[in-house]
Amino acid sequence: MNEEGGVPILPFLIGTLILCYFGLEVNRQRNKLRTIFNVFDREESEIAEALEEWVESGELKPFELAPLH
Amino acid sequence: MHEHSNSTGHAKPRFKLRPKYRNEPLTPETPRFHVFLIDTGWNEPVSKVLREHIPLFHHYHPQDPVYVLTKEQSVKLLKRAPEHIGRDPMVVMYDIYKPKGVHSKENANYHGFRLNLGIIKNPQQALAKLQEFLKFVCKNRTAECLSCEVQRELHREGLSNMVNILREASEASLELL
Repeated sequence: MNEEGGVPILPFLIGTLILCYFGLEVNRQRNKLRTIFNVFDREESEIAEALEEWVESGELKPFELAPLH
Repeated sequence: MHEHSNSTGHAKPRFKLRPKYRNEPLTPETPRFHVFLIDTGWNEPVSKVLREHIPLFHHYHPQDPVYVLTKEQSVKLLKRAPEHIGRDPMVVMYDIYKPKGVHSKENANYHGFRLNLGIIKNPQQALAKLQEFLKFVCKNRTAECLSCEVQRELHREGLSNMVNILREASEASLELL
Protein backbone atom coordinates (compact mmCIF):
# COMPACT_ATOMS: atom_id res chain seq x y z
CA MET A 1 0.00 0.00 0.00
CA ASN A 2 2.82 2.37 0.89
CA GLU A 3 4.59 3.86 -2.05
CA GLU A 4 8.08 5.16 -1.57
CA GLY A 5 7.99 8.84 -0.60
CA GLY A 6 4.20 8.81 -0.53
CA VAL A 7 1.81 9.27 2.33
CA PRO A 8 1.48 6.11 4.51
CA ILE A 9 -2.12 5.27 3.73
CA LEU A 10 -2.76 2.44 6.16
CA PRO A 11 -1.95 4.28 9.43
CA PHE A 12 -3.82 7.30 8.11
CA LEU A 13 -6.85 5.15 7.30
CA ILE A 14 -6.79 3.42 10.70
CA GLY A 15 -6.42 6.78 12.46
CA THR A 16 -9.37 8.18 10.53
CA LEU A 17 -11.48 5.14 11.35
CA ILE A 18 -10.65 5.43 15.06
CA LEU A 19 -11.52 9.12 15.04
CA CYS A 20 -14.80 8.42 13.22
CA TYR A 21 -15.69 5.70 15.71
CA PHE A 22 -14.83 7.99 18.60
CA GLY A 23 -16.94 10.82 17.14
CA LEU A 24 -19.91 8.54 16.47
CA GLU A 25 -19.73 6.96 19.92
CA VAL A 26 -19.54 10.36 21.65
CA ASN A 27 -22.48 11.56 19.57
CA ARG A 28 -24.49 8.42 20.37
CA GLN A 29 -23.83 8.78 24.09
CA ARG A 30 -24.72 12.48 23.96
CA ASN A 31 -28.02 11.77 22.23
CA LYS A 32 -28.82 9.05 24.74
CA LEU A 33 -28.07 11.40 27.63
CA ARG A 34 -30.34 14.05 26.11
CA THR A 35 -33.12 11.54 25.62
CA ILE A 36 -32.91 10.41 29.23
CA PHE A 37 -32.63 13.82 30.86
CA ASN A 38 -33.84 16.99 29.21
CA VAL A 39 -35.91 20.13 29.50
CA PHE A 40 -39.31 20.58 27.95
CA ASP A 41 -41.12 23.63 26.67
CA ARG A 42 -44.61 24.80 25.87
CA GLU A 43 -44.85 22.49 22.86
CA GLU A 44 -45.99 19.93 25.41
CA SER A 45 -48.94 22.01 26.51
CA GLU A 46 -51.35 19.20 25.60
CA ILE A 47 -49.85 17.02 28.30
CA ALA A 48 -49.99 19.91 30.77
CA GLU A 49 -53.65 20.57 29.93
CA ALA A 50 -54.59 16.96 30.66
CA LEU A 51 -52.66 16.96 33.93
CA GLU A 52 -54.24 20.25 35.00
CA GLU A 53 -57.71 18.86 34.24
CA TRP A 54 -57.11 15.66 36.21
CA VAL A 55 -55.66 17.43 39.23
CA GLU A 56 -58.44 19.99 39.26
CA SER A 57 -61.17 17.38 38.96
CA GLY A 58 -59.58 15.30 41.74
CA GLU A 59 -58.91 12.41 39.36
CA LEU A 60 -55.23 12.80 40.19
CA LYS A 61 -54.32 13.38 43.82
CA PRO A 62 -50.96 14.20 45.43
CA PHE A 63 -49.02 11.30 46.82
CA GLU A 64 -49.49 10.94 50.59
CA LEU A 65 -46.25 10.96 52.48
CA ALA A 66 -45.89 8.14 55.01
CA PRO A 67 -43.18 8.19 57.72
CA LEU A 68 -39.90 6.54 56.77
CA HIS A 69 -39.14 3.22 58.47
CA MET B 1 -51.50 28.70 40.51
CA HIS B 2 -53.96 31.15 39.05
CA GLU B 3 -57.26 32.20 40.48
CA HIS B 4 -60.70 32.65 39.02
CA SER B 5 -64.11 33.44 40.44
CA ASN B 6 -66.79 30.80 40.66
CA SER B 7 -70.58 31.36 40.60
CA THR B 8 -70.71 32.26 44.32
CA GLY B 9 -68.15 34.99 43.84
CA HIS B 10 -65.41 33.29 45.87
CA ALA B 11 -61.97 33.12 44.36
CA LYS B 12 -61.12 29.47 43.81
CA PRO B 13 -57.50 28.59 43.13
CA ARG B 14 -57.03 26.94 39.77
CA PHE B 15 -54.36 24.39 39.24
CA LYS B 16 -52.06 25.66 36.51
CA LEU B 17 -48.79 24.26 35.31
CA ARG B 18 -47.74 27.34 33.35
CA PRO B 19 -44.71 29.00 34.95
CA LYS B 20 -45.15 32.46 36.46
CA TYR B 21 -42.83 35.21 37.62
CA ARG B 22 -42.06 35.20 41.30
CA ASN B 23 -41.69 38.18 43.63
CA GLU B 24 -39.81 36.60 46.50
CA PRO B 25 -36.34 35.06 46.49
CA LEU B 26 -36.05 31.29 46.22
CA THR B 27 -35.03 29.36 49.32
CA PRO B 28 -34.44 25.61 49.65
CA GLU B 29 -37.87 25.36 51.31
CA THR B 30 -39.78 27.24 48.61
CA PRO B 31 -42.22 24.96 46.77
CA ARG B 32 -41.02 25.05 43.20
CA PHE B 33 -42.10 21.95 41.31
CA HIS B 34 -45.07 19.79 40.51
CA VAL B 35 -43.81 16.26 40.05
CA PHE B 36 -45.62 13.70 37.88
CA LEU B 37 -44.72 10.05 37.50
CA ILE B 38 -45.90 8.60 34.21
CA ASP B 39 -45.66 4.86 33.79
CA THR B 40 -47.51 2.58 31.40
CA GLY B 41 -45.60 -0.49 32.56
CA TRP B 42 -43.35 -1.24 29.57
CA ASN B 43 -40.28 -1.57 31.68
CA GLU B 44 -41.30 -3.58 34.76
CA PRO B 45 -37.88 -3.82 36.52
CA VAL B 46 -37.27 -0.07 36.23
CA SER B 47 -40.90 0.70 37.23
CA LYS B 48 -40.36 -1.35 40.36
CA VAL B 49 -37.21 0.59 41.26
CA LEU B 50 -38.98 3.91 40.72
CA ARG B 51 -42.12 2.97 42.68
CA GLU B 52 -40.06 1.66 45.58
CA HIS B 53 -38.24 4.98 45.82
CA ILE B 54 -41.14 7.40 45.43
CA PRO B 55 -41.51 7.89 49.22
CA LEU B 56 -37.80 8.60 49.59
CA PHE B 57 -37.88 10.97 46.63
CA HIS B 58 -40.80 12.79 48.21
CA HIS B 59 -39.13 12.93 51.62
CA TYR B 60 -36.32 14.96 50.09
CA HIS B 61 -38.78 17.49 48.67
CA PRO B 62 -41.96 17.35 50.77
CA GLN B 63 -42.82 20.90 49.68
CA ASP B 64 -43.34 19.74 46.06
CA PRO B 65 -46.47 17.67 45.43
CA VAL B 66 -45.91 14.34 43.69
CA TYR B 67 -48.65 12.91 41.48
CA VAL B 68 -48.45 9.24 40.52
CA LEU B 69 -50.48 8.52 37.40
CA THR B 70 -52.25 5.21 37.02
CA LYS B 71 -51.46 3.00 34.04
CA GLU B 72 -54.69 4.13 32.37
CA GLN B 73 -53.91 7.81 32.92
CA SER B 74 -50.36 7.29 31.64
CA VAL B 75 -51.65 5.63 28.48
CA LYS B 76 -54.20 8.42 27.91
CA LEU B 77 -51.46 11.00 28.34
CA LEU B 78 -48.94 9.35 26.06
CA LYS B 79 -51.59 8.99 23.37
CA ARG B 80 -51.51 12.78 23.28
CA ALA B 81 -47.73 12.79 23.02
CA PRO B 82 -46.83 9.58 21.16
CA GLU B 83 -43.20 10.64 20.73
CA HIS B 84 -42.68 9.67 24.39
CA ILE B 85 -44.07 6.15 24.11
CA GLY B 86 -41.46 3.67 25.31
CA ARG B 87 -39.58 6.28 27.35
CA ASP B 88 -41.62 5.73 30.49
CA PRO B 89 -41.45 5.37 33.43
CA MET B 90 -40.69 9.07 33.47
CA VAL B 91 -40.42 11.69 36.16
CA VAL B 92 -41.72 15.02 34.90
CA MET B 93 -40.93 18.12 36.95
CA TYR B 94 -42.95 21.23 36.10
CA ASP B 95 -41.18 24.34 37.33
CA ILE B 96 -43.74 26.85 38.61
CA TYR B 97 -41.38 29.79 38.18
CA LYS B 98 -40.08 31.46 35.07
CA PRO B 99 -36.39 32.25 35.06
CA LYS B 100 -35.76 35.93 35.72
CA GLY B 101 -33.58 37.98 33.44
CA VAL B 102 -33.06 35.16 30.95
CA HIS B 103 -33.86 36.31 27.48
CA SER B 104 -32.97 33.48 25.10
CA LYS B 105 -35.92 31.94 23.26
CA GLU B 106 -35.08 28.49 24.58
CA ASN B 107 -35.13 29.66 28.18
CA ALA B 108 -38.25 31.74 27.67
CA ASN B 109 -40.10 28.59 26.57
CA TYR B 110 -38.75 26.50 29.43
CA HIS B 111 -41.47 24.79 31.48
CA GLY B 112 -39.54 22.13 33.37
CA PHE B 113 -37.42 19.05 32.92
CA ARG B 114 -37.82 15.29 32.99
CA LEU B 115 -36.07 12.01 33.46
CA ASN B 116 -37.02 9.25 31.00
CA LEU B 117 -36.04 6.13 32.91
CA GLY B 118 -37.69 3.75 30.45
CA ILE B 119 -34.74 4.11 28.08
CA ILE B 120 -32.53 2.41 30.65
CA LYS B 121 -32.85 -1.37 30.68
CA ASN B 122 -30.80 -2.18 33.76
CA PRO B 123 -32.58 -1.43 37.10
CA GLN B 124 -29.27 -0.69 38.87
CA GLN B 125 -28.38 1.90 36.24
CA ALA B 126 -31.88 3.35 36.53
CA LEU B 127 -31.46 3.65 40.29
CA ALA B 128 -28.12 5.41 39.85
CA LYS B 129 -29.74 7.80 37.38
CA LEU B 130 -32.60 8.46 39.79
CA GLN B 131 -30.10 9.26 42.53
CA GLU B 132 -28.22 11.64 40.23
CA PHE B 133 -31.51 13.27 39.31
CA LEU B 134 -32.45 13.70 42.96
CA LYS B 135 -29.03 15.17 43.67
CA PHE B 136 -29.43 17.55 40.74
CA VAL B 137 -32.81 18.77 42.03
CA CYS B 138 -31.47 19.18 45.60
CA LYS B 139 -28.44 21.12 44.46
CA ASN B 140 -30.21 23.34 41.97
CA ARG B 141 -33.68 23.96 43.35
CA THR B 142 -32.81 27.59 44.12
CA ALA B 143 -31.07 28.17 40.77
CA GLU B 144 -32.38 31.14 38.82
CA CYS B 145 -32.06 29.42 35.46
CA LEU B 146 -32.69 25.71 35.79
CA SER B 147 -32.60 25.08 32.05
CA CYS B 148 -29.02 26.46 32.11
CA GLU B 149 -28.22 24.05 34.94
CA VAL B 150 -29.67 21.13 32.95
CA GLN B 151 -27.46 22.07 29.99
CA ARG B 152 -24.43 22.32 32.30
CA GLU B 153 -25.18 18.92 33.82
CA LEU B 154 -25.54 17.35 30.37
CA HIS B 155 -22.25 18.90 29.32
CA ARG B 156 -20.52 17.58 32.43
CA GLU B 157 -21.94 14.07 31.93
CA GLY B 158 -21.02 14.22 28.25
CA LEU B 159 -17.40 15.01 29.14
CA SER B 160 -17.25 12.21 31.68
CA ASN B 161 -18.69 9.81 29.08
CA MET B 162 -16.06 10.96 26.60
CA VAL B 163 -13.32 10.18 29.11
CA ASN B 164 -14.86 6.74 29.67
CA ILE B 165 -14.94 6.03 25.94
CA LEU B 166 -11.31 7.09 25.62
CA ARG B 167 -10.34 4.90 28.55
CA GLU B 168 -12.21 1.90 27.13
CA ALA B 169 -10.68 2.50 23.70
CA SER B 170 -7.16 2.69 25.12
CA GLU B 171 -7.73 -0.47 27.18
CA ALA B 172 -8.98 -2.28 24.08
CA SER B 173 -5.97 -1.15 22.03
CA LEU B 174 -3.60 -2.27 24.77
CA GLU B 175 -5.27 -5.70 24.75
CA LEU B 176 -4.91 -5.86 20.98
CA LEU B 177 -1.23 -4.98 21.19
